[in-house]
Amino acid sequence: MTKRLAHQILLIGWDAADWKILQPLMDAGKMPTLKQFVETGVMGNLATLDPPLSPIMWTSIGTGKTADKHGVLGFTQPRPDGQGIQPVLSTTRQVKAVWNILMQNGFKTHVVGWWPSHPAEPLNGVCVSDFYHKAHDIPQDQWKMAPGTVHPEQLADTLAELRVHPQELTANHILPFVPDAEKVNQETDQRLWSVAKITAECSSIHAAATWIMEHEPWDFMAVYYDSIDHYCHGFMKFHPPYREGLPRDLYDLYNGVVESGYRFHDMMLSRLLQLAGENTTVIICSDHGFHPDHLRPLHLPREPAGPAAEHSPYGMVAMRGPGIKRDELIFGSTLLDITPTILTLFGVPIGRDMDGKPLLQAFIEPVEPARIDSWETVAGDCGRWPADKIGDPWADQEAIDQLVALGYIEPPGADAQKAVDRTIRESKFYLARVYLHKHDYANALPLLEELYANYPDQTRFGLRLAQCYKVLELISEARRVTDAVIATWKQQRIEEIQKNIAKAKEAGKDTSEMTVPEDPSSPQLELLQGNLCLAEETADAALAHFQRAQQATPRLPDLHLGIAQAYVKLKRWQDAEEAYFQALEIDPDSAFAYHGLAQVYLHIRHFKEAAEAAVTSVGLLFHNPSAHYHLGEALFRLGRFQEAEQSWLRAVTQATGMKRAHEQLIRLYQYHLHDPVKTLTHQHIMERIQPVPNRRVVSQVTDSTRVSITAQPFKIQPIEAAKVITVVSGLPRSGTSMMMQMLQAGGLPLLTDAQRVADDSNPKGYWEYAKVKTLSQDNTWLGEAQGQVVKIIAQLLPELSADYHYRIIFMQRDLEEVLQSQQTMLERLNTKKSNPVQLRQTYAQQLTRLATWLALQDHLAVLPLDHHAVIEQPLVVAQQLQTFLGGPFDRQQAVTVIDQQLYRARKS
Amino acid sequence: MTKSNLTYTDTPFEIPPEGMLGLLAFGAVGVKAWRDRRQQAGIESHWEIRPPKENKSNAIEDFHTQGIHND
Repeated sequence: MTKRLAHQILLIGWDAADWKILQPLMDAGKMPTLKQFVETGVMGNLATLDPPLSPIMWTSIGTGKTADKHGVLGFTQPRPDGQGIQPVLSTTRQVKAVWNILMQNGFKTHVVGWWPSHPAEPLNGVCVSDFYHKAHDIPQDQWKMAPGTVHPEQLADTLAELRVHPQELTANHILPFVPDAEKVNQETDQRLWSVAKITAECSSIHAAATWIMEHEPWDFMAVYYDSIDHYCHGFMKFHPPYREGLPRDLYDLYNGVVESGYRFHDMMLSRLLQLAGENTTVIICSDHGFHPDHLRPLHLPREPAGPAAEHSPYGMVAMRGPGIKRDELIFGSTLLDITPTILTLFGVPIGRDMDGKPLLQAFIEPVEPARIDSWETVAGDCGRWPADKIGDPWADQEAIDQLVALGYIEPPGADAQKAVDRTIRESKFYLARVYLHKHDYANALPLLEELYANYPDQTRFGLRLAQCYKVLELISEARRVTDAVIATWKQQRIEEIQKNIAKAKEAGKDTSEMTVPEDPSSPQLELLQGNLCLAEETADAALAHFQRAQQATPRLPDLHLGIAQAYVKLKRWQDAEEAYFQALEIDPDSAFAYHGLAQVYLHIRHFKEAAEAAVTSVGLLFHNPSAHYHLGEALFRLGRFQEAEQSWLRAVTQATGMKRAHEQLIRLYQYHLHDPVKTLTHQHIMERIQPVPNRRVVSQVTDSTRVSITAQPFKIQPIEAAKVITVVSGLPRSGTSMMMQMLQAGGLPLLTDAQRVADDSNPKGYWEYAKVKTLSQDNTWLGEAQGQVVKIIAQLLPELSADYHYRIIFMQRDLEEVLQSQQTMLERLNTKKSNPVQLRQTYAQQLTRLATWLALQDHLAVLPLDHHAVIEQPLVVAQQLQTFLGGPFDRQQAVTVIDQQLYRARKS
Repeated sequence: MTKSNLTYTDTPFEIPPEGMLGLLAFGAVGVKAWRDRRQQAGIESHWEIRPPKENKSNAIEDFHTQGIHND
């Protein structure tokens, strides 16, 4: 560990907090605590990531990693049994969070309400999950706390008592938000309930956090409040200034809710700071902002997570404490930087596999952060759930689909299937957007191609795919997709208008003014076409589209960026500059407008202005390698070689394959900084840069094709041996049917039915019992299986009730052979095949988790048997079976059923 | 109203049985103090804020907890 700068760290998460609201409130003396806080510390924007969805963002804040690494890909995920969906959980996270790393390094850590954190992780301090405060619409007397909400369990009752229910609140709590609350007709307007619910929920979180700070020792404390985001989603539309089209009476009632919500947080902050004490380093941050001004969207997109359109790309960060600068601004921060900053403050090495950087500009003294390759491979108790609890729901779902296709488990009901399909679809889309945001187009492309091919009606998929094609310079592909998207959009628009007319007619309204346009268009459509023309190098055509959009909506966000780019291509520098200024007039925080201005100034050789614009751009949005490149160019032209070097190095750090930045660095080292070693280094890098692939290469494959389940005896002996259930298990196509036949021939009674008949894949039958397929929903039939043998696939074993004892004969087979056999079976069934590479990895992970689970069970004994050995050495296996079963078993008869002819999917 | 020994800015203040936002902002201690005061005053229920019934058309979508899908 390097020098520890922080004695204690309190991390406060304010979802959606935005300086655009905070600053005027501080200036007006309405948030005195935060005002005093920033005057004694640093403050700045915190650039968000895409997609700006809170579970993804808060996991990135808590891990320093992007979602492709941490695995949280939205609000919901498939249930482990594939029978529906559930919220994302703490076990969804695939990597260690900062609290895990700190615990591993001996720090006492507490976490309250983080998203997602249910079930509460077994930390060395207190963990209160994000299920703790959610009142939903449950009446107060029925409001139970879900099991697993609090760790350690003995604090559950104490903390449950501190929860505040919305119905507990009174006029005294509501009137500060809605002074004319008595005018609200609650029969028709439920907004008062919303205010009460949000306020009660954040009061619950705050009560838990303050209780822990008062009663428990701590080094690190993280507490997350979702309430600002919720006040904003509900009431930002009523926030001043008044906008035309909003019912005036509603505006008058609710225009103070957002401001009051912020002020309430200032009051809560005061208490947290009081409890933390002067010597604590405190970080307050948000995951994204929330448009409070003319950038508020008038309509939300009609798509999943559409309300995220209200989010703005800049969250906030403020920090104060020992060793932190006072009353200063910091620039270029992203939410990925919070975890590296916390680790550096504690003197703990940063993982090189983290995507963020420590906010060193906030420190008074220069610090050289320590680094290690990764914390993921460092063993030791870190308060995470054991491996058998942590799953990859997306990969697991693919395996479940395969099992459904093979007929081993029941498909979910129609509604559940729809929910599962939609969740998977959205998670793939979010993952594609994560890759796009990281400029990883090679990984984004196949996802978007698959999504758009499967859901051509979802124009948003097509739009991102076209964007991806454009960046990869596959312009004709981009044109093809864009044209298709436009055609779909027009068709959908026509159908929507036709529907509205039909509805109006049904309601007896006059529809004479309602007409269906022959060729509907919209400013957004013109913008889209204009941008494509830019990619096609037809700037005049682009301008024509942009001008049409401008006529309809002069202040359309991003429109003036397009216009400016068209002027750049036409070398009309002054017009381009003017257009970028117009873009900044609409959105003064547009990093892209400043970046564009920098490029214009470089062209007209105004290098000082170019440097200033580029600095502002990277200050707003740090992760933009192209902007760093242009900043380097401006600085180089100004003769500021060392600073130019730093900018170009940042560019190649963010985009390792950026050839032009390496070329500039080579020239800089060769002719100006006279550093032959660094010249050579970058020359070598240049030689290794491959062109950006436009198709994903084969994904990484694990070397292992075999995961071993180990033998184990009963830890608790069964009282009646005759009632033990014998289970034949394994992956489908690992020889389970063959084992069922052996056991029957050996004299054991089987629990089977004739529902699944023999076929080419299993000429001697499946030996199945239909109720097994629904074991995850109904295990009441297990009593019937006592004293008999039943076949249950490996994935369903954790569903076995602990009320019985089981002898499990677990069939093991090389995964390649299993997959080959499954693929052959799917071909015979004429159903869809899955990606065998992904499935192999998923099966390997599932078996590893199963092995951990099995080892923890005391009511079952396990005999692993090798599929190959059963065929090659049946007598030896029969002997093993007899010993394991401990009762009468006819070995000679058992081996007679082995038919080597059926060992078809044999690995060469 | 009665005096309480609860201090927010080193000055004792009165806790109304109906509570106040400042007490919630005070955290666990504030919530407990309010509930004690409410019990002392014999007030069991509260103001009429009603949870939504069937029509949730203008209730705030629980966007975050539900992960709304409206397609």
